[in-house]
Amino acid sequence: MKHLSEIVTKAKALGQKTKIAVAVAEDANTMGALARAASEGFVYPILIGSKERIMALPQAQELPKGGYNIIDIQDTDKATKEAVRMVRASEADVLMKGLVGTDQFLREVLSKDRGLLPPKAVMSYTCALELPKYHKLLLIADTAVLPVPDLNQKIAMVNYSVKMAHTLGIKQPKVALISATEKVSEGMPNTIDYALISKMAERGQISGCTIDGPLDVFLACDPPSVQIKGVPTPIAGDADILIFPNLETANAFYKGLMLFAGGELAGLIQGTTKPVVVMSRSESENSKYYCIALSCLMKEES
Amino acid sequence: MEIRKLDQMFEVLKTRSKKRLVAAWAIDAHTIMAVSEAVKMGIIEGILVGDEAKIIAVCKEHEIDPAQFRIVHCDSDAVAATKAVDLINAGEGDFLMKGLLSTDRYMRAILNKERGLMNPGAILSHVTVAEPMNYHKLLIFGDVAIIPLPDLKQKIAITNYLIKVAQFLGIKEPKVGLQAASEQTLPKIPSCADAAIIAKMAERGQIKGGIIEGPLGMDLIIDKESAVIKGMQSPVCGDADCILFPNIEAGNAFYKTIVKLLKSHLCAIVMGARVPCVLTSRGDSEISKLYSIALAAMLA
Repeated sequence: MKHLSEIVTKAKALGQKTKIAVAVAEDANTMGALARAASEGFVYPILIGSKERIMALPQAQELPKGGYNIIDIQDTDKATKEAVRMVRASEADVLMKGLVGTDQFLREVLSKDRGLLPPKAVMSYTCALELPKYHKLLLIADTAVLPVPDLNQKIAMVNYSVKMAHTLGIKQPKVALISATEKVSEGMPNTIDYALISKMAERGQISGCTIDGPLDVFLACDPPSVQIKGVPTPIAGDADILIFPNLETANAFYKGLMLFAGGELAGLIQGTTKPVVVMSRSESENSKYYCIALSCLMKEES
Repeated sequence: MEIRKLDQMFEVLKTRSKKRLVAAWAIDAHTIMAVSEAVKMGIIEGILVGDEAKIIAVCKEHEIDPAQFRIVHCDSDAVAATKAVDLINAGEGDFLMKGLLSTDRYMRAILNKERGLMNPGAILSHVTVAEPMNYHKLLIFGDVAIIPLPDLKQKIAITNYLIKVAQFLGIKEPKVGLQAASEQTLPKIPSCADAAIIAKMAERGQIKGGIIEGPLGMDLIIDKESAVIKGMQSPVCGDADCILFPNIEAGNAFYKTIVKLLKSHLCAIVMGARVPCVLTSRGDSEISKLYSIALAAMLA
């Protein structure tokens, strides 16, 4: 897959409207993308929040007639709880964050008795990037949730990203475990984790993908660098997925690219029983729209 | 020439210039006879450090000609090891052997910071070379005697020593199996985790000279059929030259099984000092002592 627009094509081809429960849908930042997806017929928004404030949003005027529902709840906390409840009860397929703090929103998602995370599951975030200078989509993790993933969390990041790649039609994704160097050293603990993960994959303990690491971004995504350095790696500069050692690195990587190189993204919370959409306000309108389309595809897998 | 039987070391050594063995506190029959045997075979020169009168008396008792040795007199075992190490450092000997003094004293002389045989930061480790009777080649393994629970850095050092010993025995690209509880990479089991890390480091060219695979169970290391059944495809499986053990218990049990249960020959050497050091125990057979002297001479 080369373009995020292909996700939209696939979402439309599902032939059914994905029901998205929006917690506190009073957010001008997301309403535009939501209205667009609803108008194009692949999403049925269930807007939970103050009906008055929702309908006051200019973007809400673009919602298709009869193509959405509003559940009028004034209180932010109650609206959030109701949105999570609906998804948990399969009254909706996807949960989406509106005008509620991320912390408050995720607290409900993570709630043991009311939330959407199975016991002991790791919550993470995988993001698909469309970059003008790369020949295909590039999935990266974790740009938003896990600050300093340990070994188990890194393995979860790999598995979630591989699953997303499969959903996008990438059958045997190439996973590069990103560090500053391809060498393994105790001085850089992430490289130790990476050595373990790539050996686990070699032993068949992680499947559905080809993994190698540590690798730097050049060795992961640039074939000439692989030749120059002479590092034998099955990724060979053709990575589909980059696993980053920590949140700062992943976050700086994608934001740097969006800002200086251009491109779009589609990201989702991982590990939950149903897709959960959390978008940054600074993301482009298109990216927000792609996030919604991606959630429609991933609901099939959940 | 690739050495496949311990005896072959003698043939190789006979074609080379003789290395000078320095035996510390060599006043017992066991040591003197082993050195004498090696000298008579023409594979080394022998320097015995110890009480001259005692050495000559033991020689007489066992009908050994003391003139075949250079004898360097010293009064007590307390100074013998230091004196022997001094000789090596003065360029008068090529490798060291322990006589009738305690291992502790012997090692302390080697490890002495000012006048020992260690380079800064070097790791001292014990390497065994065995000739198991039902295996098709020699097996080189460690550490069964010095480092009880090697950490990652020490395991890497031991791996490098195994490769080095193998290469000195003419094995150009030795195959190294990293022994662990399972061939699965189980991060919570240190033997599995360290083996995975070392194997990856080798893949990245950070450990050179051998083909390294791990984690592997013992069966996969020495038995090709087990590897086939378990679907493990590695040139190391069933054809290993070297085995890295995760701890001294595993290594030592293997060592003793080879000697006592399989009645196979083996020899050993201490690596990590500036010269090879022979560390036999009184329990070792005469031939095993002779092999150990030959092994050290090969590496000296």
